[in-house]
Amino acid sequence: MLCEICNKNEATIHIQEIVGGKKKSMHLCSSCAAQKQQHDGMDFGAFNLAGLICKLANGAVPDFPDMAVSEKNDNAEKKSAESQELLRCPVCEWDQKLLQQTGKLGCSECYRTFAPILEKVLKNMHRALTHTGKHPSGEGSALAALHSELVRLQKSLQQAVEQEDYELAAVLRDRINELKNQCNLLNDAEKDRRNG
Amino acid sequence: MAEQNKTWLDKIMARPFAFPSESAPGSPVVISSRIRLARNLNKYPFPPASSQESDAQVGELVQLAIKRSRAMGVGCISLNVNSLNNVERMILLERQLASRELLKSPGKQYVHISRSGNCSIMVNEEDHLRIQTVLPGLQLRRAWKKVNELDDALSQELDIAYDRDLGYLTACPSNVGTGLRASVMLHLAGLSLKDNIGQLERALAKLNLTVRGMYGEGSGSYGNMYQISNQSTLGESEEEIIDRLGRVIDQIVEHEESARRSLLANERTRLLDKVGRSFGLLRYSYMLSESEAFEALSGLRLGVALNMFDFLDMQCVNELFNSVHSGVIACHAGRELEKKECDTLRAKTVRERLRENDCR
Repeated sequence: MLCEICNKNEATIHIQEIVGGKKKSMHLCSSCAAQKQQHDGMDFGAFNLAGLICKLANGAVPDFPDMAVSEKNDNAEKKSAESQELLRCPVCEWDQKLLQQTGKLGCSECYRTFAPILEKVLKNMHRALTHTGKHPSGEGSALAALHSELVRLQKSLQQAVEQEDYELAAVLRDRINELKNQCNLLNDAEKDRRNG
Repeated sequence: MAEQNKTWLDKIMARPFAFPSESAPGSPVVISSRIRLARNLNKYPFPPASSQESDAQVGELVQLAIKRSRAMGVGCISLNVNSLNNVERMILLERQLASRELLKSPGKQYVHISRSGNCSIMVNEEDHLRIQTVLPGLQLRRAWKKVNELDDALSQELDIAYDRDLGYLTACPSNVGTGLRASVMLHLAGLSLKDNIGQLERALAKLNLTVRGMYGEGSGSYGNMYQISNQSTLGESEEEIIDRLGRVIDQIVEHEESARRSLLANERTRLLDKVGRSFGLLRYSYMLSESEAFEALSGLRLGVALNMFDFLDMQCVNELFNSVHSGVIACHAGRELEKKECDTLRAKTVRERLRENDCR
């Protein structure tokens, strides 16, 4: 959805007002919303019911701006877009521009590709940055688990090399090769299962 | 309408609506509870970046997984969205079996509906899989149990995109983690009449919860029906999300009931006027638009909840709510209807039903 004022940027701020019993919706980009708030002195109001409900729900009040807006993306995306080259996912070719336009990702790998941008976005959207819920079960998940372990080890390997800890790097390299073999075996088994 | 399609449509129409058709657990303020999970397959681009070819492959894999896992039970209905006519699409939307976004997508979208009509799996909406259950009344825990079982069964057959740190990977980062959206539909006629909905929305935003209209994202507030749902999906377990929402829902229900009591005690004339006008409109109109009917039924439902009618009960009003949807009217007529024609038939249905009760 495009911003109602500039018709150029993706609307990332969605405001709903009740005026005279009628609901009014506005969809704005962050810069137009900031201008509108400055010029029109838009008042998002104080509310008493808010305090009441907040208190009753275990006092669990996240640190949110004091107005009825939900910001889907983050300004950080824009800043990093201007200051550096566009990030592009090596798997699905989804790029930073598409991420900004749609607010969506192209594939699982995008989460790694756009990790620097996503961290800030996720911090704004969610209560924490680590998943604590359920995980998949079954054959497919064994592969998924191996993949994420592989990624973790590759990251550690990179760090070990940077810190010139070649002993650790050698251990990690062997473990990565071992995991890659396991992944290939599982992949083949999965293909056979699906084909047969 | 093709004979094969007629059969599935007949089956769906015969199933109870999520709008409580019998005494559902909890206060009459609560209409229904819904849980949905967003899931994607590894190695396939997510729908925002995918090709029709890849969507078709995902569609086949999911179809096979449903069949092998028997997750949706015997008698599961599998539909290709592309082959549906407008009336069929309307019914799926009204029954919350498919979303607006899925139904308007031009590619390879599919929907699988369980025999009970409570569970559906949307394929290639924003994510590869949207697994959901809708139950009447306040039954979040039970809805979660159903969806969780479905998810477990499917993940035995499919390679689900999952990251150890971020959890389930979704097309929109707002769903990452649990991929879970829990929502409860409430009839907030009292808070609405007291102009408190704006305050409620702001309060809920502070709690990371959102308020949406009857048909989800982007839909207006029809007949003072609001869906309250969690916004954050990462950092809390599924049970924590559900329990937190449940606690807030209990508070909102209390607020709504207290608003109704306050109207009855302090603003009796205003309340009576609202309910009386609603009844008059429904009882004597010859043309009713869908939103007009919902708005008036909301007033009538408020009156019935406050025992203002001796010839009407909640069951009757809930059935009326179910019968005024444009899709239901078109389905009974057996064809797509012009707006004028649909409005006339809607008014007739409501008028006759109320006259029957009035004359008893």
